Parts: sequence; structure tokens; C-alpha cells
Amino acid sequence: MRGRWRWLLPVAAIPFLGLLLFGLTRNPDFFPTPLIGQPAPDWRLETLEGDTLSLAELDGRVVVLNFWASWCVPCRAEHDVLMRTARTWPDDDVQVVGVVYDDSRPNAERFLRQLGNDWRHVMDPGSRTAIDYGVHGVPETFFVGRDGRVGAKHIGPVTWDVVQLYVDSLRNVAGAP
Amino acid sequence: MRTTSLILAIGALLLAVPGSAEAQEPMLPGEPTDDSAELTDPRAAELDARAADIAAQLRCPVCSGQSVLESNSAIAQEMQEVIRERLAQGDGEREVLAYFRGAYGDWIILRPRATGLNLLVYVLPAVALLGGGIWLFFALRRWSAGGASDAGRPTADGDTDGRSSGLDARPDDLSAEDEAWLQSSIGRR
Repeated sequence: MRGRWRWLLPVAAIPFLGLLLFGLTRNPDFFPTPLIGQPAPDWRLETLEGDTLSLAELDGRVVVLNFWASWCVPCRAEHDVLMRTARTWPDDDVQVVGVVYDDSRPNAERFLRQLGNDWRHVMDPGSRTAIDYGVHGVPETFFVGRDGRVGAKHIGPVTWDVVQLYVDSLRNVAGAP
Repeated sequence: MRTTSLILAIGALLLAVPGSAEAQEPMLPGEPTDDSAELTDPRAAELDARAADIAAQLRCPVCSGQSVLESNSAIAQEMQEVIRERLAQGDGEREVLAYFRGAYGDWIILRPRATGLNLLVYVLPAVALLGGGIWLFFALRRWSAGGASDAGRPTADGDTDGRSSGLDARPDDLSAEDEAWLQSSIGRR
């Protein structure tokens, strides 16, 4: 390359390096969901106890919808946070619902016997509900407002700060009539 | 996430092992099994083909380099089942893709749509190829024909970077042909 054009090569590399640097700041495990602000996909599923539960029944409450599995290690880590969530607010205000993802009923039940169970869990045969919600893996947690719309989604184990932030902001919004 | 996909992959492998409980279900003699019915019914075969076509366009949620069709993960298998169900209910390809886009966002579509910032993915390679081609064209022309004008250029110009200092001390009795060859071989480096 001619001498007077020599500067061009490093200059051309700047946007490329910039792009790579930008990539380093991004979390590859974060997938934006188009569901925020949309009506949460409805479901009617069998609970671990054997009766049925549907999202429509929970209209007017803030719903913490947690996709989990007994084979999922981070689910173990977040379990205490969910226990605290279920304890902190009465069920008719904030309802925690676990959706068992790609797991068997006995395994799910054993997991809950070991770690405690203070809320309701539904089985999701064929992962239909997980696919409706665009779940990539577990744990993933959706925060549904009183109006039945998705307020927020958290990927990975929830922390108490996250739960408090989302639940409080959704509790303060007036619900559906 | 990585652990999750690993476990899913192992799970999928286990499910793929032949002789699973499902395969051992007792069958009534003479009654056609589901499998053979699917193989013989042309409508079911067409549905499978259309489902596979759609599955190939969707990104597997736990193994993002693969399509839903290629992946053996449990979730991808279940997504294929969803596609088949929706097609059987009368949905078209567009509706099925829209359903998955509504749940997972544009991310789920393997081939980025040629709009907005995505357009760069399609335009940049063409621009780079064209730019490189133009540059190469002029560079080749200079290397082959423009040899004479470069011949006496001293290294101080910075052009040859001092690497060809040995060649600058060239003998005076070089033929024009040798000169051209020399120039082209410098250029090739």
C-alpha cells in the first residue's frame, strides 16, 4: 500500500474494534422478550396437588410466574428468595406460581420436599406454556401485573432485590376492575 | 445456561435410546401403528414436510447455533410438535412463525430479516467485496503496468518499508522483462 494511504488501515479497524468492544459489554444470556406490556399468555394446567389452576383465575393479583426444574442448579439457589416472596405478601395480593419445566412430577415433588414449598406449582406437559412464554431455559421468572399483562421478565436465579423491585412496582398499579 | 443445555442434551440423548418405554407399548395385532399410518398417509407426510420447513427457519432456544429442526434438545422437539399441531389446526407458515416471534422475538428467526440494523448483515459483505475488488483492480494494475514509475523509488518513501532494500541494490543490466517480474513478485508479498 502506498505510504500516504497507510493510515487508512488502522483507521478502518477502529469501527471493527469498537463493535467487538461493544460485544464484550453485552450479556449473551440475556434475551429481550417481546412479551413486556403484552397480555400474559393464558394457561390452565394441573397442579402438583392434582387440581387445576389457570392464570385467568389469578386476575387482579400480581403473579410471580417462575419456570423451574429439579435438575436445574440455579433453581436451588433462588428457592429461598421465592420462599421469602411467598411469605412476604398474602396470596390474594401476590401469588407465586411455579411452572415445572421439562421434569417429572416425582422429581419436582422431591425437590420441593427437600427445599420447602410455600406456593403453587403446575405441570407443563410438552412445555407448551414455556414455549408460549418464550422460555430459553430455567430459571426464568415473569412478573405479571394485576391487569394480566407481563410487567417484567428475569432470566436466571432471582434475587430478593429483583423481586422487590418488580413486585412493588406492579403492586402499586391499580388492577383490572 | 450452559449447564442447562448440557443437561438437556444428555436428556435428549437418553430419550433417543431405542427400546424406550414408549416403543414397548403393547400393540394389537393387525392394527396399523401410528408410525405406519404416518408413513402411508400422504397428507401426514405433507404436514411433516411443511413442519420441517418451518422448523428449519427457527433457532433452537437452548443451542442457538442450530435450527429447531436440527436440534435434539427436548425443547426443540416440543417446538416441532407445536408447529405440527398448529399446521394441523389450519395455521399457515406465516401464522406459525408469527406465534414464535411473539413469544421469543426476532431472535427466534434464524435468518435475520433485512430491515433496520439487520440490513448491514446483507449489505456489508457486498460493500466489502466490491471495495476490495476495486482496490485489487487498481493495485494489480499498478503492480503490473506501473512498475516503471516505481522502479527508481527509494526506500525513504516508506513504500517498500525497507524490506526490499536488497532488491534496491539491483544491477544496472536488468532487462525490462526481469524488471517486470521483479516488480510483480514484490507486489505479491
